[in-house]
Amino acid sequence: MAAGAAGALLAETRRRPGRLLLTGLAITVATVFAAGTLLFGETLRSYLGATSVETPDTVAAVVMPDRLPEDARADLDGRVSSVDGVAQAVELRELYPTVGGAGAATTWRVTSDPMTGPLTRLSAPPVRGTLPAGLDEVAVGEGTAKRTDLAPGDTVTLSAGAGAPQTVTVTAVVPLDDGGLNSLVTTPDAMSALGGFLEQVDVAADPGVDPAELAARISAALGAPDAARTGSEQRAAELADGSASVSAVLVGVGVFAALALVAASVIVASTFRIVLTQRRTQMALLRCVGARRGQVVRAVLAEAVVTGLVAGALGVGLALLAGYGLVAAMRASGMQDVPGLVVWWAGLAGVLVVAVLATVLAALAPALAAARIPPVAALGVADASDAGTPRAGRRIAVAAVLAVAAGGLAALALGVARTSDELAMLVVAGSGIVAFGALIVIGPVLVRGLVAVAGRPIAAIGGASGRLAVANAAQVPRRTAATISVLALGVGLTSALLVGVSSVRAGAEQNIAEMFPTDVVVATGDAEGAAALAARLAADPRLTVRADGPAVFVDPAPGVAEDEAREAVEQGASGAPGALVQYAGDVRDQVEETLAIAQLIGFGLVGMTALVAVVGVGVTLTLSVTERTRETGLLRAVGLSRRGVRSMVAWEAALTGAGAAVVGAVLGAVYGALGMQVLGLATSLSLPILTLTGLVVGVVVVAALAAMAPAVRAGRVPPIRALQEA
Amino acid sequence: MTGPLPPGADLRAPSRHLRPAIRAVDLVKVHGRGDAAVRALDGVDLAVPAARFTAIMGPSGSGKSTLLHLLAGLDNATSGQVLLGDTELGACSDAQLTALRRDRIGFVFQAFNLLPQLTAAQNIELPARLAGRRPDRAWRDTLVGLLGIGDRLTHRPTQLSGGQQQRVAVARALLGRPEVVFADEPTGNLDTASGHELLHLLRTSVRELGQTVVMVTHDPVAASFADEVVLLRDGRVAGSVPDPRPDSVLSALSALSGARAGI
Repeated sequence: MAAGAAGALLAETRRRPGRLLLTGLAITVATVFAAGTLLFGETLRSYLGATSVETPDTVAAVVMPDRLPEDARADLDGRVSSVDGVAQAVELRELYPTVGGAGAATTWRVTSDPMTGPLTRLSAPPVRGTLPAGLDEVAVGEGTAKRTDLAPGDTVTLSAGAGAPQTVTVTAVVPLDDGGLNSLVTTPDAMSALGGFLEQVDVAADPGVDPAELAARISAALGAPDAARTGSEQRAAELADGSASVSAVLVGVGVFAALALVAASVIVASTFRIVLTQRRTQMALLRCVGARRGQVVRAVLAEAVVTGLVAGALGVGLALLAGYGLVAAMRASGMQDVPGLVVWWAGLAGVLVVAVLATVLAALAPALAAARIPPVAALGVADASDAGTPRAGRRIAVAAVLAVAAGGLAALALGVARTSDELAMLVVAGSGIVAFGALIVIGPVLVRGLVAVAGRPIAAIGGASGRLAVANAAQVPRRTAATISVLALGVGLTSALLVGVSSVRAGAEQNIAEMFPTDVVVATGDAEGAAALAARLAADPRLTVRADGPAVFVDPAPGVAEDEAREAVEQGASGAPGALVQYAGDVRDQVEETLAIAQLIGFGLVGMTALVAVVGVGVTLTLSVTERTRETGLLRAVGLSRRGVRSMVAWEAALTGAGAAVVGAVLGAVYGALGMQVLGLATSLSLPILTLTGLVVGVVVVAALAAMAPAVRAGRVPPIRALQEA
Repeated sequence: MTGPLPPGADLRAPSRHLRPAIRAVDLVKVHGRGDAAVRALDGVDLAVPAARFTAIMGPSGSGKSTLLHLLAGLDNATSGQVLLGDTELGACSDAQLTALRRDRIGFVFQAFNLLPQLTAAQNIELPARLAGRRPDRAWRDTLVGLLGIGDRLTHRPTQLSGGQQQRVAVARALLGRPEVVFADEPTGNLDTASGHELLHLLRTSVRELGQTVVMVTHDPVAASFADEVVLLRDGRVAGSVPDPRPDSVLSALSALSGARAGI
């Protein structure tokens, strides 16, 4: 019999599939995000896994210096070379110096390479020039050469640690997979002299020697049982390392995907409540003809399963389409090394299951409410759903408990911050989730306050339409509150991000100001060199110069443009060996660039929740408009113009948006500040008031835009509908 | 203005001698198209005199509701004209019709007259607010006193009885001193006592305030409160009953049914 009740409801769903899509739209958006994350993550994992294996196949064994005592790391290559079965042993060193002389001074990567023989990591002979051999010779990666215009014969200065900058000559341009980081390659001896950090020792074996045996023999010779492992073990470890960093990123992105899904669930719960109330008579009729409460609940949940399946499958399908489309588009635009899409079907199936579960969970409370509809309601007229005054007392009590819990967690986070940043951030996130819960519970009560506060100005600006919109919002406090909470979640995440970015920027500004008392700082080997250079630079009238120890501080003279001063400094310092010129502006640009990328990624992550929220505004209003068809007809009959109806819907959305924007911006700013405090960045805490105000205005506008489709729909309601049965 | 009708008034040309508040000229309304087309109104000519209470009656399917919709500017005619004063409704744009309904016409429907999210007072003042006008408070208070809903103004519709809701709707309809008030089965959802009270109020508005009222009903007793009953059959005007009483209306109706039966 349950099938009978479910069948009756599902028949209705089949009759109006559009409504099912509308109910599930928020789930679809969240699923696109979750499935897209999975596709992107798996593709990146396989791609990075493949590229993170750096040890070549010719390496039979490697020695890991970090497994040897520090005093046993000298002359490792010599000692390993003398082990029986070793054809060659080469030290691999790495250094990240500040490089001057090729544009602005930035941090580069310098690695060692034997240049020839079985252990070289260079995949091909030099593109130009000859391979470096001497202690002051380097090769530059092909990509780096392209970015910096370095060519064989040029010189650059390397400055690492406390030592004086060293000048080296570029002798070759070599093919190198540098991952976008400017890179130099030099010989192991030169790297030794530069003080490069010993990463590992690559070992080539004599023909016929077993790698495992060789590794064991090397370990024994070095006196440490696990100092060496085979090349294949090393490559496997590198693969795992590469994937691990992706996994960490995926966990982070997954948190945001989960947030988007939570937001979608709140929307779905709200839409189910509306749709079920509209079908109140139908539900009551089912009860009239003998359906038990349990059967009604099961019937509604069956519909939720179908909704979740359809919406989820649509989301997964869209994500796949977007993934394949993106790869194809990138390849078409000439990016040939874009990896193929890696589709993990089991994972996608998991996303679909989660989407269905979220929908069913969201539908549970509305289903139970639907089961409570008395059979006699079959004879009555449907009321507006979510109507009536909320039970304020209970809601306030529960919300207060949750708010106290959120506050307690926040305090705990501040306490934990001394021991672990990660743990503290987790506690902050937990506190945020509890605060969101409090917002959902208190929402319907807040709506009354919102209406009281915002009602007057909206009526003043929006006239009769505005007044009606406020009345509409107040009539269904639960629905309005659900939309507001979800939108506030999106706004809150965004504003927390804005506070974070703004604080990090302020902190970076402080650091730059401390590091750069003047616009330009030139580091030289010693005080005499500095004094000489200062004297030379001071001769230029365009510069103000001061020498202090081994450094020269330079400012443009009053009225001199930055570009001109830079030219003057470069001219003056070009003859000084080992001078490293650094510009505050360049460092500032670099910080800005990094922040811009971080901000972009952040907006991408929180944007999904925001998108779900905006979809929620649109869907909820569309259902409200359908529900209010007769009321709209009556308004049209007594003289509200079509435009008036449209602006009434838009005003309701704007009111929702305003409530959400203010609540979200405040909560987000508080949590952003809390996060900064926990991370110890509170000294530079900065509230971007202007940006936050822009956010609030933007949210109101976006909410009103989301109301466009339902507004047009409401405008089409003919006045005669007021006289027809609902 | 409300003098008795001359005896032996022409049944086929009701009340042409009075200045009409609203007129229908050869009004035709076809619902649907092709095989499914239904001719709901088939050439209706009608002049509703001002400051009179006119009832429109007829069997179900006679087109009385359709006629009301067209007269009130709620729907568009297939052909023919509706003239409210000198304004032809068919020539009006949607925006003009909206303003016309708001400023020159009042409505009382059978049910669902009031917006549930507004109080009684807000519902009464709604058309004025929609027009961006300050409602005439003195006139409102007069109406509210007349209708006996003075202590119900801050209530929402769900807190009012059916009769109170209808009286609020009447107050809303009368507040703008419209040229015509249209009532569509206004007593359909009321008990007998509340229904009679409402009909008395409508008649009072005609007698004492000079209001023009057009009411569609299927109840001969309700129709007997009118000054004149216009009879509709098969989408045409089939006659009228001046100075109606329940029994005269009933006999006119049964005569109509008889005529349809082919006598």
